[in-house]
Amino acid sequence: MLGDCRALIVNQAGEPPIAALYEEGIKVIVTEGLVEDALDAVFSGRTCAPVMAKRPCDGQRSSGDAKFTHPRQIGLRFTHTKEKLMEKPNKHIFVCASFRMAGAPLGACNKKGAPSLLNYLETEISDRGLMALLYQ
Amino acid sequence: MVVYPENNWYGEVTEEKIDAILDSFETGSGAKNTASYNA
Repeated sequence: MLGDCRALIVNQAGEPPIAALYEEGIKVIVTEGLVEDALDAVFSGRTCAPVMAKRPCDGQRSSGDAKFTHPRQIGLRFTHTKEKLMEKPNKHIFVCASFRMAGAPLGACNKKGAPSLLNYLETEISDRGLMALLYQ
Repeated sequence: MVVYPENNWYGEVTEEKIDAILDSFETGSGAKNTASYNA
């Protein structure tokens, strides 16, 4: 399932799965912020926000007795600090495949066969080896 | 279909047009002859 992934953004991960994924060429990005923020940082090449202190599930800041273990203390490596993890795509291709339920007039793209074209596009990009070009 | 950063818009896309668009990626041209129009 993760075979075509180059990186995973997670809130937490143990060292063994990180190491196993790394050997498979998949970088694990540990962040305690929002995944959206991490994605934005990855694609823009920015540095992620610093790690926040852990909070209990009720959303209240802990009183200090709950110790926060920095990932480096347990051998985890932050790969998202200054290193540019994911290459910025050279091109973005957007394909409309909109649809509506119950025969509504909008959503014509799906009716015109957009899903099969999208599948064809992905296959062609892969077959032509254009992923390297798109991420040049 | 829209391709950025060129901002090329393609309407009535078919498999043949996709081939031409991808050909243009490989050759570095803009595939302007595949019913594209700029937004």
